[in-house]
Amino acid sequence: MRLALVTPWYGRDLIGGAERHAWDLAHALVRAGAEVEVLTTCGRSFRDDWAANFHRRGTTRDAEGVVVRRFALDARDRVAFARVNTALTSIPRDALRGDRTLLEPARAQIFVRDNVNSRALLAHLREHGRSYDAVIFMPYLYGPTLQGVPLVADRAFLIPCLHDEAYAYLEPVRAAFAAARGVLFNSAGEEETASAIYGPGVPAKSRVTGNSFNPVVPPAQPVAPGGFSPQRARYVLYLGRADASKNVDFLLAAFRAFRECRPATSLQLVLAGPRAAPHRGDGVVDLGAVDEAAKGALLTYARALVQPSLHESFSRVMYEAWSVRRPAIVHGDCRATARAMEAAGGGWTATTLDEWAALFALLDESADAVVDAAGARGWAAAAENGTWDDVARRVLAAIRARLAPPAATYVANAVSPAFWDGQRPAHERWAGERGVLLSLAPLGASDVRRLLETFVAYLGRVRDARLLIFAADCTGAARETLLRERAELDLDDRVELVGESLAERYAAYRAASVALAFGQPLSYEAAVMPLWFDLPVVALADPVTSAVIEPCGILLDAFDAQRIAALASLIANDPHLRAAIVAEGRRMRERFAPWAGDAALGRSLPAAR
Amino acid sequence: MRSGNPRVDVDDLERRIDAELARDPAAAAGDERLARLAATVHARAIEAHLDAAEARSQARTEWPAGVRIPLVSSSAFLRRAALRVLALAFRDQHEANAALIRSQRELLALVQTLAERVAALEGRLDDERAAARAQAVARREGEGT
Repeated sequence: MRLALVTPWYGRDLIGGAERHAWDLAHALVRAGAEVEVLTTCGRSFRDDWAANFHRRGTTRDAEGVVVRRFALDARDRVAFARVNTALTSIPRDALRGDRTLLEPARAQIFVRDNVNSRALLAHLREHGRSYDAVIFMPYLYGPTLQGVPLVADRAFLIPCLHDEAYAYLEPVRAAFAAARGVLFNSAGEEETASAIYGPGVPAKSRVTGNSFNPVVPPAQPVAPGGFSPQRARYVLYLGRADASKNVDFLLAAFRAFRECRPATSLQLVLAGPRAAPHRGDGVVDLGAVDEAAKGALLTYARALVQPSLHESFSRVMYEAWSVRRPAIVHGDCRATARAMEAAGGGWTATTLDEWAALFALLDESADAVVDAAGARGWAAAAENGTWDDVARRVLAAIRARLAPPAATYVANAVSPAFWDGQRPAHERWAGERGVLLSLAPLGASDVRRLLETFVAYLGRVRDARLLIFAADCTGAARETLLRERAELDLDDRVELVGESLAERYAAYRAASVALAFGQPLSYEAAVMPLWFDLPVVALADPVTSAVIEPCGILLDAFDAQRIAALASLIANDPHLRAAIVAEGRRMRERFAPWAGDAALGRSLPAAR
Repeated sequence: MRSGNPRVDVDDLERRIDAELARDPAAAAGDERLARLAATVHARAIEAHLDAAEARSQARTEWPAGVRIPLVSSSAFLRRAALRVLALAFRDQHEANAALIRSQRELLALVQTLAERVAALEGRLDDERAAARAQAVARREGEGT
């Protein structure tokens, strides 16, 4: 298989996560038998000038057989880009919701135009793109990816290294995800992030192919970086760039809160990684950047690794800690690390500052056996994760499966999310509302009355609630009853009929917090589709809901408006309950996916060995 | 309520719903618009039940399509006779049902009238409070000058 790998910066010594990923993957793909050409720029690194050519233009082949084609960088308007970038990075995290448009088109275009770019690279793709079987683009947010994917869309595969950050919500980024033939994720959590941002079209063409890491070698001799002796200290370790983008300020605040409650503790927080200025604090040891030997020693003797970052698609350091049987604490709002932790049990997840402080206290007080047991579970997960060669095999298998003609396997009652790929909502009227109920069931006039009764009870619990009803679900009498009673109850602004266009239906599914099925029996499509939108469903029992909803959601045998309203408000407002229902919903929807009967098309991470 | 989701503890969820309902039995009480809305919806639900009861409480004058009794179903005369006998046998019951439904409707109308009266009194109370506040302000201003 002849592959191109497009990435803005490429080199053995680059330290960024995506850059190391590109290097390791390119070489592993060659070892797996693929012909690999890396198409990159002459730029030196992310940290250098994005318009300055450092490397020579042209083609080279390294000793391992990877061909590298370097193309000249374009001039760019740094000021215009910086202005847009500042606007994006200052958007609060709460404002990043599903389908909201973040920037007007002209400013989004500036982000693409004045990004790191190479017209020569794009010309090569235009002229020779069809000579490759597949073109892999990574990561998602730079010019070569955003402008390159549309040029070879029929063979473009994104390895996005996606984070839940403002850039991911830009329209050109959405367009690149929609145009790509396939998407390959580093972790299940990253795929979940993509589904949350771009909708259910993503799982229809994606696969979790994973990532890898280099196992840590424990030091043969004692080392003492910066005079700090790891083997003699009790500490939790932060490893990596120590700045605000990695949520280190939050980590320091949580550790301060812990030390204030336990002034006599001997537990320290060690920071090891490049930073602008040393961090200080009671019990904080900031070592700055350390070499590999020191890193090995620090990981080996740490009580646990701490990973507070919200912006990860795969945390290498977490797996490196697990490879020496040390547990980790990760942030609950980072799907990539939180889902990996949930699956492996190699440590703990904390979200609020208080939860982090409490986990520091737990680590301080727990017996070594308890901490070591979590580390051992992590070690098992790290061993299962596999090497770069395993990742390369998965990538090749995923690309082959996606390029092959669709399998002819029959899946009973299959419900595909594929036709939502690239879909945008008809409007943003409901986007960002937190109390939206969506009715799924076909309705008669009496069902409409029951639904309104439930909604009024719900409105008493969730202010600014909204009820969305698909117009196609209402019979003539039901529609008449709904319109009349809605007007009489003065609920015109709260109860809305959803039109039949795909964009209208998409907007409703994406905006809803909880789906209700209280009417006539559901079809399989009506029952499964909300699961592709990660919607928790509460339904009355019927043959279809018993088969589809009961294993993941909540089923009721009798109608009681007050209880249903209370239940819906609990689901809408309790993230743990919601997450539990959504997680099982993801399993259930896979059973009805068109690819359910074909292992080659399955999206879950295959066993490494 | 049931769920096969291993991550959902249904008993605990039932308890939480009970607690939620007990903590705030009249959730809409804090908001007058919502309270009126809830009462209206409740009244409509009662009316719907009464309509259903009324529809089923009348003596039948037509033979039900789904009922098949040998000889009787095939003869119009026997069908009419059977319906008359049944109507006669259950005449007292029909009258009792009709009276109960009527009384429930009266009760509902009474409740609605009382609710309207309460709303009107609340309105008057608000007006009087506003007038009293205005008078107090005017008096204070008068004392100030």
